[in-house]
Amino acid sequence: MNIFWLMATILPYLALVAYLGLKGYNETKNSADYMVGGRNIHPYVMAMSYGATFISTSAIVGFGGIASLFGMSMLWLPVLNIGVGVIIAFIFFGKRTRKMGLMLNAHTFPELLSKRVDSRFVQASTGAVIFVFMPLYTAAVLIGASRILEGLLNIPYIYSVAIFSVLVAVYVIMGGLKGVMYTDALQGTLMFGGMIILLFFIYMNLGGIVDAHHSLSQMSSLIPEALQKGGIYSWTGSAKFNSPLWWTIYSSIILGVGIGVLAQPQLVVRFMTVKSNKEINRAVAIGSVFILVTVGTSFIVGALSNVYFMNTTGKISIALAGGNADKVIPLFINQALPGWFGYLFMLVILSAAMSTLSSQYHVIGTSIGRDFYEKGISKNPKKGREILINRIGILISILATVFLSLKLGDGVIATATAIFFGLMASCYLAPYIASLYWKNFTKQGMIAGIVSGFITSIFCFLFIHAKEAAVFGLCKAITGKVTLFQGVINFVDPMVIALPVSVLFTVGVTLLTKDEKSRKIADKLF
Amino acid sequence: MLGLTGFSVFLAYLLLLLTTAFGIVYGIMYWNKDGEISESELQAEKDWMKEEIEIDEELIGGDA
Repeated sequence: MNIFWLMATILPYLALVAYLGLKGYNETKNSADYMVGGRNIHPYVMAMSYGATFISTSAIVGFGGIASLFGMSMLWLPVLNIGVGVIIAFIFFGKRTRKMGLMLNAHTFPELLSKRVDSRFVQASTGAVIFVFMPLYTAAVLIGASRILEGLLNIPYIYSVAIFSVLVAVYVIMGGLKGVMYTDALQGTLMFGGMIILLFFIYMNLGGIVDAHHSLSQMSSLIPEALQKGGIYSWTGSAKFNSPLWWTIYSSIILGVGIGVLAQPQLVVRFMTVKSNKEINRAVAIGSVFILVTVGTSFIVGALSNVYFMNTTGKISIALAGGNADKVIPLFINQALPGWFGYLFMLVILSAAMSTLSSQYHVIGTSIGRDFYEKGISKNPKKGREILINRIGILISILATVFLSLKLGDGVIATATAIFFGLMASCYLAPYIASLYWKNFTKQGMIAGIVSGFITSIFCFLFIHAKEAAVFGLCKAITGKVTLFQGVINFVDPMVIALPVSVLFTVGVTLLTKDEKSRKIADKLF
Repeated sequence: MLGLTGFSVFLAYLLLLLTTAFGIVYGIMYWNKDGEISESELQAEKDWMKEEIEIDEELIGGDA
């Protein structure tokens, strides 16, 4: 790829993003009346902006690459992304969250929970959890974007991380911390268009839908031995029930991310900025199509890239990618598609990364400055200090993101994303649902649900789930064994254990306690 | 079935299209519903937005 043409594509794009961002900022600056009054936003603009925040390079590059290993059973994830992440989230969570956010004057996810039961501890601790753990997810997004740049320009990975970090920093400094609707809409449109071209290309190149799937079905004997030992015998069928990889695919990737999306702070905040329930209704339609095209395409392309590479090089995708699943999609874009598409796809990736990273950094900034410091631990918060903490917090998280991007190793995008999604669901999903739907929900019930989910998750990561326990080494240092137990439980995602524990504590403690204050708050809300 | 060997993958493919179809039908059916908001809700939204702007200023625009 020619760097001159790449720059000639990227620079006008960045200029356009800057122009739209500035335009939106000037229109809305210090004008609550304008922002509240401007209700006639076109549903297309609104839906594309939703999509741009939902879908990141993690989904396209990381999970697409994983699909080249695990095959098309990964399609259960977009089923949950649409069924749970759009339909259930918007209809059953979105409308109530919007109302609750307005009535409680809550501006962040930790604040929404804390004001529902009047607890500073909830706000401070949730802010701290987000600040500490979200860099895992921001790193996953940055790695995804950097792998594409590495593949297209054929430059060392460290350079592509550096280039992307600078681009994101410039974007953040320009004021893109909170996605302006029109900027997001441009980015969503690019993502939608780029992915639809990719979907048509792969199916047309491989002889149509049925022939492409059939060719992949015929490749069972080429599945690497390690995957077969884990339980995968076909790329167009499910892994063997109760095998290690069956648990990895269905508990960590599909359930962890598919259910975990419901308690994602940057997405919950989106519901609070919606103008009315009408917008949520419309977003259900357009959001479903958006996820189908973007996430569905990346998984189909990831799995079918095996057929393409076998036809053209005689090797399967992971072998060509040197064993690194994160490199499969970049390799496919670089080798299989016409040169002009590489430039377009670079914009798709820039859009996916920037729109998600901007909302992530916004959440990180507010979680440390507002939630942890101002509303949480400080008895007499000072404005200047809060602003300083906000900025230092964002700076630390950007540095942590870059550090993790360089240190996390190969094939980690999907894992890092799944850990963060799973952790958030384990700690906050039960308290969040109870906040929305249970009038007698108590402060003690919320704290018990959060703390039990957190402790169980961390315990599972350190002592039970083999992948993380091996990295941390605490279990080995104490017991001499990598994990406490042996067998298939080492592959069961911590969320599968921690979420039911959190539900149990949330419900049990609420039933055992009384909290008149929280009840009065609920009476005003619903 | 669509060239796929396993029923569960075929089911996922089918459900992917069906959930999308449900989303489209729901969105179209309720396209213009729930658009009205009360005066008190509008006022709450204005108050909310004022504070939201302050938070954004502290993150990206204000002087430390």
